[in-house]
Amino acid sequence: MILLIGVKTDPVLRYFFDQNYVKRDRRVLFLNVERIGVDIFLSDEGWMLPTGELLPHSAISSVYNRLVSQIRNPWIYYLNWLLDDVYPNVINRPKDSLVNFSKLWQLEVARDMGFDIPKTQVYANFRLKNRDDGIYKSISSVRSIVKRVENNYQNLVNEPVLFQSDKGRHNIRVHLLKGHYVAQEIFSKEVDYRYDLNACCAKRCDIPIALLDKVKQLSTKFKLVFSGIDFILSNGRYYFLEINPSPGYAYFEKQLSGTPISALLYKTLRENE
Amino acid sequence: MSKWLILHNNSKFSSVLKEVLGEKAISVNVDELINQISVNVHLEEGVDHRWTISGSLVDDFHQRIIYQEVFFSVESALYEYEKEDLPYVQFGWQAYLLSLFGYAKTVINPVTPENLSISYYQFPRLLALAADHGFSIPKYEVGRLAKENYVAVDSLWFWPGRELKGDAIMNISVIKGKDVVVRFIRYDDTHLVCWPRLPKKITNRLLRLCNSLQVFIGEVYFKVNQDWFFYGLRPQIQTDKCHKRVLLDVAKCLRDIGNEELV
Repeated sequence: MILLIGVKTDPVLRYFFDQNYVKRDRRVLFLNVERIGVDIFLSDEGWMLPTGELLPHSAISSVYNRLVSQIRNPWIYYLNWLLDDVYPNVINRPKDSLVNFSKLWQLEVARDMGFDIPKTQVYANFRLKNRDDGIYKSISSVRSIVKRVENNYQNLVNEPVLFQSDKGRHNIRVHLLKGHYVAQEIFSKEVDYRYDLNACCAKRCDIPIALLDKVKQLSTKFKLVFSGIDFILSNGRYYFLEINPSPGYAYFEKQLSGTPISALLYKTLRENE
Repeated sequence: MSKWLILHNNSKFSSVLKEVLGEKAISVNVDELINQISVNVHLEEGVDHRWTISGSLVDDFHQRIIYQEVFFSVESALYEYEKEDLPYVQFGWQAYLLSLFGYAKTVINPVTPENLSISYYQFPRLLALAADHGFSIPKYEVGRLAKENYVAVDSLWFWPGRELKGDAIMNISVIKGKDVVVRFIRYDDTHLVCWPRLPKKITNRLLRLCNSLQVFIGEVYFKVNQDWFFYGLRPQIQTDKCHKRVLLDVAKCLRDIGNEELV
């Protein structure tokens, strides 16, 4: 069986499940983690489903893990162990998804691996002397919204905040899945294209082979089967911004012809059958 | 001797460690870190972490050994923030600390993205690892009905005497024998010191287990009869149950981790 694990309201999981080839496959089962303890029960034997049927852990061949919500209870903690150490072919394991915990840490690793990164500073309990023309954003995965420094009139930074030089609006998103990639470019007016309703569509593009090799190395280092990597292209240089271990790829794929990322994901999940 | 930074939560052990390391160690509590210390990091060609503590600059973190007990205590110092901002601020500080710890010479105990996983010190994982390293382990069940000769617990992080406060999640078999709590310091991949001293065979197994967890300091729980049954490990010392003489010995051994002349 192939498990899709997450919550019903997750648009990415819903989008994947809505693909015809996924929906029709009886080996694919969506488990809504919000129902654990209500009509889905978990034990060391397996999953007790609402139908009364027991799905043993040994019958699970692959998992698409979208445990991105902040649900905290002992069953979710136990599920984390199953996903980390017990189930085969998990995309991605929770322990590997924690590379998203700190953007600063990610940037350091990427820089050490030879990626170009924008000039970056982090301040906390710090009074800024002058506001330059850069951008600022959360240093963690929480409230990950990018804004321009000039629009912030408070010169005092309390909690750690990440400041970067502004490298423009030519955004490149690369989705990498088991060595296969789909790259798209987005030109936006806003500094954070996700909040730019007028942004031009995410058009498929190529990336240099040398960059692709580095992206593959980074993904391998982080043990990620599936990742979304963000760059800004400026003056011919690809500036690494971040790598996302739970990419919201649906937004990007909807702007392509066909469903190349979903198809790759489905193929990868079936590899262990 | 290496340079030490103690990032503490006003624990009894941190004050003992401060006493042992002397004036050369910088000691900062979680409140000072969150609300007073000015932090400045530059990341371009290299990485440069700088702190300003009461007007003095500290910028040699790559040479420092950090003893830390603040990573999971950040929330206790966020009293200046609004409730809805707490997760954002807490994660912000933890994200910063993760980078600082990655840059420091040694961190006791290490904090990396991998060992931040909620499964890292979970009972099922620890028992599987302990069994791999040759320990006898108790039987346990998750998500089943209560059973005779099993103790029911409401958490996947188990230590002896932990009381059941909520719904049970796990049953652990009760083995007849003496409860033994062992405090340990792992110097490196080849050397482990334990209080009390253990049979060599058990010390070797424990060293291999600690190597796989990359943990330097902590407590292990055993039930001992003719055999040593592994019941769990915590990456910290419960000081309220530990004699001050043992704490002092542990702190002195910890100091030696940074003493390259001994190696």
